[in-house]
Amino acid sequence: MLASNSPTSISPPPASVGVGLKAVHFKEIIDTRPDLGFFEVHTENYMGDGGPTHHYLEAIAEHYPLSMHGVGLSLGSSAPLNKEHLRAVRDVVDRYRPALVSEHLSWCMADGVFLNDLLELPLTKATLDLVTDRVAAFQDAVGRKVLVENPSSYLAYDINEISEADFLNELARRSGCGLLLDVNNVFVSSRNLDFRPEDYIDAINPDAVGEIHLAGHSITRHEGRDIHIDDHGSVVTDAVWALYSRALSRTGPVPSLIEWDTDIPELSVLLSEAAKANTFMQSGVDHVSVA
Amino acid sequence: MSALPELQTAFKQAVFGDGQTNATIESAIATGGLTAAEKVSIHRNNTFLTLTDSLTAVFPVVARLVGEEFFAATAREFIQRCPPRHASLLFYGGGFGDFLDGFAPAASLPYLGDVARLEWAWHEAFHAGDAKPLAADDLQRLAVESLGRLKLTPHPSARLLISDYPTAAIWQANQSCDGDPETINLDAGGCTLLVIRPALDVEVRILKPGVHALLSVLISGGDLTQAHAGAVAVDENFDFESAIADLIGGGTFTSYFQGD
Repeated sequence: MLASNSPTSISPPPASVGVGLKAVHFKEIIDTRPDLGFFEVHTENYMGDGGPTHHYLEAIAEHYPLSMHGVGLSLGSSAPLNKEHLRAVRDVVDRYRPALVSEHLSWCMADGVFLNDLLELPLTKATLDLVTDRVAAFQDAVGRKVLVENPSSYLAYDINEISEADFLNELARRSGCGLLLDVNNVFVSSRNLDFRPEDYIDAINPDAVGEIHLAGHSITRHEGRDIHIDDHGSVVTDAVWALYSRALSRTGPVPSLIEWDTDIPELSVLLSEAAKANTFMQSGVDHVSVA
Repeated sequence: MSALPELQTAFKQAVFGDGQTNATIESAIATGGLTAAEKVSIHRNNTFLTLTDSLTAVFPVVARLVGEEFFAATAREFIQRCPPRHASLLFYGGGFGDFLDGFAPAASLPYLGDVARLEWAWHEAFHAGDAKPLAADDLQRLAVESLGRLKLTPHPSARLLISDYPTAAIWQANQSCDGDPETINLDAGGCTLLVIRPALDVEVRILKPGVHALLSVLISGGDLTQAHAGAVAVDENFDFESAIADLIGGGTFTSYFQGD
């Protein structure tokens, strides 16, 4: 239940950099308290009732703002929004009062089966109506504004009527949600679907952007072609840093996250990526203050 | 292009089925670059890789016993037959032990299903609710004559298992890759186990059959008189007082109440 007298959530300062929280780093984070703006977790990983995962997240939440990033709500499914899952998301959000709550412009459930993947949604007027309603229901359930992230794409649909950037801008305008701009996803999609990533960044409404994601990707040869895969298993590439810088010049400082989900390295590697992001953010701040 | 429900059903079938696309997908996906089937296969690979990783994380001992390649093939079969139905993978894998029981290629390892059920119990205990265990002192003030109708609430993490194989020894011997491999005699007989997490660490305890029977009655809501009868039925020399003291000392219960 959303009580108006609940403790208000702490917002990360606009110009802060966070990293994805991984269980292997729990103890080191509690022991060393690295200088970071926030931690982001996958909401679905905290849907258990108790145990060590909650124990450590509670300890970390005492010292850092949290961002709850969902991967299972399936905002783009044709089936009715899964009320049970929505309640589970709300329960985790109520438990931790995170500074940010986000999900994806994609779908991952069909006929009651979970694909554990974020699949492309046809971008039409009809799906825009559908997703707008679902984002509204999501925001009602958690009692706050949420952010919706642009996906990484490997295919497009013949039926598409709206560009992804326009779709997201309109979704934000209609539902009041914010956008989570994943610049690595923009890069990955641009290579797989053959468009200019700079144009995408420039088309996104900068005022709607409430968070930026940064991550590594991999390139695999598939039937004689290079396919860019958004695997979050390596450092951010120079091309993605350049897009980040471009995005920041439009949005100004916004919470930015280093994601790393496969082949998870030592915490120090994440911290050095975060420091790099911070350098970009600070140079943007200087630039703004000079201007 | 078909309506969204048909497209999403077609994708689900292509991913969890044999990987073949159908007319719905073929007509929906824009041409250029890879074929529609190749594009869908990128998602299919991702689904199977990440779900296999998830199963490997929950069933590390099963994975170790059969080896990486065999486990991947086994997981593939399981994922196709029992895809996840919950959008949190914390809830995925509960049927893996039963699946292994009937999985012909693993028939030469008849204990594999029991090992998987032990690992699932461990996983469930790890994520179960937290609760402060009952202390022996909490029961001191009760009148002796009221004890027979007493019911004890098990800790939310408590899970009981019975195996015809030395499953606990197999599980224990495969907790790390270090050291010399231990030889376990499969004829050593079965075991009765309690998996529980009274605080932060999950414990796997071997129970005597009488204690297992006692706890089994208590967990299913019986009172101490009924539990005692259940224990004596499997072990006529059952030592009731020391069993209850050990269970309470081990943080097995969280509260007590008087039955009818």
